[in-house]
Amino acid sequence: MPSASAACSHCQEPLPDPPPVTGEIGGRTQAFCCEGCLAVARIIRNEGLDRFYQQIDGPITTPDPLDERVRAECLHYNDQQLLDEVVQTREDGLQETWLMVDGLSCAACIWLIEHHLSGFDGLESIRINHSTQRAHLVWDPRITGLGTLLLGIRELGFQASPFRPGEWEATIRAQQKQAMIRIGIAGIAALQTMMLAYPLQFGLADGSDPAMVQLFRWASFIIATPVVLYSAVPFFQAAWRDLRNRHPGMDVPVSIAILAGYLASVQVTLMGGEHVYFESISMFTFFLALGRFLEGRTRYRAGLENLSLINAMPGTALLIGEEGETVVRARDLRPGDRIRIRPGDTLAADGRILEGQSALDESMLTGESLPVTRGPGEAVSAGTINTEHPLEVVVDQAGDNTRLSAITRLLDRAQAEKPRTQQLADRVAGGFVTAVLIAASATWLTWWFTNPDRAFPITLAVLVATCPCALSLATPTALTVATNRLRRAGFVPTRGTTLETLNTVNTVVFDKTGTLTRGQLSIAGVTPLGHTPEGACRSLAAGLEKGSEHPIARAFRTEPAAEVTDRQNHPGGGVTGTSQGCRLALGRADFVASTLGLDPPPATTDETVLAVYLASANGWLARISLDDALREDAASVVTHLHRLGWHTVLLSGDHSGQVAQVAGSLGIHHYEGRLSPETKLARIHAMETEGRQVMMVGDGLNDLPGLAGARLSVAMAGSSDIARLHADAVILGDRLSPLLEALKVAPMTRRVIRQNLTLSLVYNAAILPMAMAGWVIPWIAAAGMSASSVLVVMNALRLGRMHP
Amino acid sequence: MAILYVLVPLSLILLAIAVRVLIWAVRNDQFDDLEGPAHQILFDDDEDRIPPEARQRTETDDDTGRGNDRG
Repeated sequence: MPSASAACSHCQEPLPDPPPVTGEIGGRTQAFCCEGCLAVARIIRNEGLDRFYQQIDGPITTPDPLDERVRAECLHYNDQQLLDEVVQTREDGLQETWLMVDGLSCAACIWLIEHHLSGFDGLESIRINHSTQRAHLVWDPRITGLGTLLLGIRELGFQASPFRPGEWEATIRAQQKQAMIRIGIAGIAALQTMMLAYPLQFGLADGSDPAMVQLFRWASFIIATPVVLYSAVPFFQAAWRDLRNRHPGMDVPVSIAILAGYLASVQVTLMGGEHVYFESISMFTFFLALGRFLEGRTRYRAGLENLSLINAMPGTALLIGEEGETVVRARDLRPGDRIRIRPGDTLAADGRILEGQSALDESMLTGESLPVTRGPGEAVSAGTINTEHPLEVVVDQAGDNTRLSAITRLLDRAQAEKPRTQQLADRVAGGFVTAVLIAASATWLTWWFTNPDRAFPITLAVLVATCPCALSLATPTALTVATNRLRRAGFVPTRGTTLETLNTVNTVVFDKTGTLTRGQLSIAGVTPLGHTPEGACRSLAAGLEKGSEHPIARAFRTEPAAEVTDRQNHPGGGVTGTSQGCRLALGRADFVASTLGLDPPPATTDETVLAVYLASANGWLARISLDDALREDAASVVTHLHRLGWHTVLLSGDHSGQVAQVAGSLGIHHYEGRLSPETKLARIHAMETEGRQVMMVGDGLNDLPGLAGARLSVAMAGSSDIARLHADAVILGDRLSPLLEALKVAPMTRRVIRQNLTLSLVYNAAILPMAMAGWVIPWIAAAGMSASSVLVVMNALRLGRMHP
Repeated sequence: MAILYVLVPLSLILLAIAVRVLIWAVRNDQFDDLEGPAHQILFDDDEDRIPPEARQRTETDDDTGRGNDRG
């Protein structure tokens, strides 16, 4: 099949010729890019779910092959004891949980998962929500377990992890539902009252038949009452809170207008008078509630996306007891326990190594890009990843006493001390409230002395006409549009003030590993030292490193691997193996030389780069230099920041010479290495006292205090969960350039917000004298209010397409 | 115009029904997933239910999947 050899039959990645993996499926040989794709395609074919391929209209994630370790890990979660936090047992004995599913690109993926899982015994129901990418699972614990079901999803190449909808989310969901009902009622009521107001205001039901006027007023009264008593309640609550805090915001004039308009209309309905304003207050409430709802939903979705990356799976550890190893929850560990750490595991507690030697990836804690070799007696910290050999560790500190928890506490403190940004709209609102109240009192006094009969209705007209509908919509609409635009670009603001704060920042602090760099090693160059060509050296090295969790090994994953037998890891040295009867070694020069009995390799001048050597028993084969490569767009982002006149700083925990090299190649103004999380925070505080406004971009746990202490914090998508949760914004994808988009959109947003505020203030200022003079007929006030609101919304919508 | 004395109260009753329906819909998660159902309706997973005599084409051409179908 010539067409199949061009692209992988499962994930559609382009394939080299000959294809790396071929397999027979449904009686035909097909080509695949990897074993993972083949395995998934086989399941799909065996279960007759081929239709998936015809229906899919998004990219298919290339799946990782499921090795025994992943299987075992999934099946752990069949164990009831580990799961009491993420799984709920219902009254009928069934269990349920929520899963976050990664890689769902279209409806076909959902269809595939639902159909595949429906073949599992014991699964009662599965429902996948397309917009939130969540699955709701219900199963019978006597027949199956969560682990088996998780494995079922993993088999198809999707990542799934249980998600515990926290209290935060449950509250927000309830609030959202209530808000929808509030908006719906206000909307329906606005339409109805406007219909009833039409004959009243245009004199169609006027004078000729007072009973008819009264009928219309009563009907409007009945319709508008739930709006005031139910739909507008959040405004009253917020206004009351503002008043108690002596910090009047937009909700105060809003509440005054709604209440005054309503009470006056009720009075007119009961005792007779000139006008009722039921339709104005209904429409007004509807507009405002809608604006608030949209703003809240944007933030809610950003929060969901952010939280969705967080794994609620309880951390586990292998406890070594008298009867062998048992899986326990990480937080049940006690000092003195002995635990086994397999390669690829994350340490669950602080401790000392009893047995074994291995390279530990400590980058999350220290920012160091290379793993550190640790042996018996040495201390290890929770949060680090074992990359090579099994270790036996005795626990010193667990739970809240680990170094990891100490950093988290520092974070909380820094967060509490953070300067608060006051929203522009709130400051404007403060002035506006005062102005309206003064104007209303002046109106009342003036008319009281000239024409006491008209004093009350005219004061009321002033309050209704100056109702800050457009003013309240000015900021939320602009923020909603800007946030949606940024989210599409890969920059997710998680707080309402993020965009405004972005305008005040003038210094950016970067972390190195995982922020400016990719956070993983890649092959920078291969220099053959013998007669073997470069390509052959690469594939031999890839064969030697196959199956290892070491970061160096990961650099070779993309290379085609040669057949290598009896592979062995030598911690702190390298790997050895045999290919075609020839002994091979890869690793540090002295290790390779002593293993194979060779003379030292030819010397090089390049000292900053990390290099490994490949040799066979017959002589040196190649020198392979490795690098934690910079992100593609790191240089252009830094250059752009400099052009904008920003000061750039690189603060890293890394001990290697790479810090200077990275700073030099990017032209970063100031850099410092070997910093602990505490000193990073101190440096940022020092910069702030110098008068700089700092934005910090980081990813690791070692950046956490710094992120919290900076005026604005941005976390990379690959960051630790806590870093993302506490950041003001998250950059999605593995590029830095969304940052530039954010810097472009932030000033535009500020401009639009200012335009909107000006626009609505001008409208209010224009209508105010007319209302004070008693010239405003209610329908003019209503039309003016709607027109100014629509204008403000349209202006905000421009943000979606605007270029600076 | 006396008919209005009937029609206006009638409209209030209709209004109450509309609000009840809205509340029911929100409480029953009808607004929960606004994208999924739009896709699901277009998903052809009902081929098994089509009687053989009504089928338009045989399925032998496309059992290996895509390539031809994606463009």
